[in-house]
This record gives sequence, structure tokens and C-alpha cells, in this order.
Amino acid sequence: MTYDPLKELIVKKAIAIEDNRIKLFHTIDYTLYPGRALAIILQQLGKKGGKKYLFGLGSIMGNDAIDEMEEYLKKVEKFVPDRIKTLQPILEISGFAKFDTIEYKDKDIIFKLTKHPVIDFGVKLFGKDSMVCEFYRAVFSAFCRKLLKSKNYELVENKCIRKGDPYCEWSYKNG
Amino acid sequence: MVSFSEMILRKAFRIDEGKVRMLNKIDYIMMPARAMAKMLQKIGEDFGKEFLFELGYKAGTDAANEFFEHFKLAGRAVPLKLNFLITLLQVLGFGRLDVKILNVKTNQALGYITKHPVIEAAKNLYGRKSMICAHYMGVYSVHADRELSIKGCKLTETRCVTKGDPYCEWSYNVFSKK
Repeated sequence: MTYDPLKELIVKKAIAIEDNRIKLFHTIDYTLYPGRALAIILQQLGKKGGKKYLFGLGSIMGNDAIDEMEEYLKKVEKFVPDRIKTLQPILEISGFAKFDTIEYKDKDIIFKLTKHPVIDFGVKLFGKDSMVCEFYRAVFSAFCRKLLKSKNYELVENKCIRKGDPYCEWSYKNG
Repeated sequence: MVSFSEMILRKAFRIDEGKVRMLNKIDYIMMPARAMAKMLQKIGEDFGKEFLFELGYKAGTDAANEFFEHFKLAGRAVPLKLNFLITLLQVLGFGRLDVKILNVKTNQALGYITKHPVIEAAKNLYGRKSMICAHYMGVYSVHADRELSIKGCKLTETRCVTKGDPYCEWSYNVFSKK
């Protein structure tokens, strides 16, 4: 059975509804955005500012999300299981993606993703012209840099469902 | 009014595989509010408040389309849709809406927004320089038009939490007639 960090945190009430708002660890506020609408506005932003701009926005989002998570985890280190503090669970509980697999091969890390509501909508709506992945490539890169304390800057896209591949795959050279 | 906790209990919302699904039909993504504030501020600084408003309007239009597609809201009475909207906006982290004026005959609307996690984050980060309300005004404008029958609604702001007011005050056709 695959480990489900979100469910563990829900059971332990670390993700809870307080005053009609979703909060993680009673501190980090979340907002919910419709996946399809998000795909539309990310595509709009990509058209307006270009792929690099979209990547930049993803970096802002990813960097702050992991900063906020780390700030909080430092305070409550003793109470959070170690299995939560690794890359895959942290990405999932931050709301960004549930990866099928993250494989470590020497210094390479390979991320494989078959289902992502925003990326999937991006492909449905915009086909091979979808730029949504660029945003998430930046988010995932930010998490990798911070959590793996790597000097390397960004993930590289190897496969993508918008190109007709069966799944999205990114790789990252750690070091 | 149904609280989010009750909605979870009634299985209206399900958290699974990193996403939140409403009534088995609409997928939502959880995004940290502070990070969202930073991203929206960047967009506002680079492309202006109007663009941010239009982005929110576009997002809100699609969201309204999804509601109509899946939940058959067309033909329902405005008070029913209003209750649905108020609950939904709050559980999504789009703030608590307190409607002060809603008059379909005169096409007027005015509401107070409080407890908006992204706006609160923006207040802490940017204070008076925050631009992010424009995005949510776009979102709310579409819903006021589509669900509450305030035709052509484009909300304007007369008070703002980021400027030290106790609530954001957004209105259409109240302080200036259209």
C-alpha cells in the first residue's frame, strides 16, 4: 500500500478546517483553486509573459511554499514524523503534486507523474501548446533546490503528456 | 449555512491524491495562501491591476461555467444561489462574504469581504501596496453576474483590509450609477 501523507495528516488533524479555512499544522493557510480555471490563467500568463515568465512565477510560488513549510517544520520538528519531511510527501501536502514515483539513480532524480488536475486540463484545453507544465517545473525545481540543498537550478523535462507521452517525467541532477 | 467541516462530513468535499474534489465532479488544487499572494502581487506589479482583475474574471467565468455544467444552477432562485455561493467562496479560501445590498431590479450589489487568507497574507507582506484584491474582485464580479443576476457586474473597491479598513468593501452600481 502506498504511503499517503495527506491522509496521515488529516487523521492526525494536522490538516484541519478552522473557521471554515483549510489550515496545515494550524498555521499555514491554504486556498483552493479550481484546477481547470488555474490551467486557463496559467496559459494566459504564459501567453502574456512567455514561458520564462511563467517559470518565474512558479519559482515564486515554489520558493515561498517550501520556505513557509520549512519555517513551520523547524518549530515543530519533534512532532512531525520523519517520513513526512522528505521530498515526495512535502510536495504532496503542499498541494502541488502527487508523484507516481520519485526514483534516485546515483546523482539523478527522476520524477514521474501520470495524473495532475491542472496539467491534465492544460493538455485537454490547449493540447501541445499548453504551457502549464512550465509553471510546475519551476515549483518542483524550487522544492528540490531547497529540500535537497542542491546548487543545481532546475528540473529538465524528459516527457510530457502534451507531446503525446503516457506520462510527464522530469529529471534533476543533484549536485 | 453549511460549514466546510459539515461539507467534509457530508462527503461534499473529498481530499484524495493531492487534490480536493467537490461532489465527485470538480477538481480543486490546494495552494498555500501566502505563496499565492506573492504570485498575484508579482503579476499585478508587472502587468497592472486591470490585468489581474481580468485574470480573476476569466478564472471566475470558467468556475461559474463548471458549476452550471455540473450542478444545474440555472433556473434556481437567487437566494438559493447566494447561500451556495457564500458557503463555497468561504470554503475555497476566497473570503467570507457579507452581502449588504443585492437588488436585481436596480442592478446593485455591495458586499463586505473578511477572513480572506490570501488578502490577509498580502496585507502582512505588502500593506497598502498590495494589488491582489483586484484578482478576487474579478472572480466575485463574474459570480455576481452569473449567479446573482447583477448584469455586467464589474466590482469596484471602496475599502480595503490592506489599507487598514476592517473589511474589503466591493460594490457595483451603488456609488456611481451605470
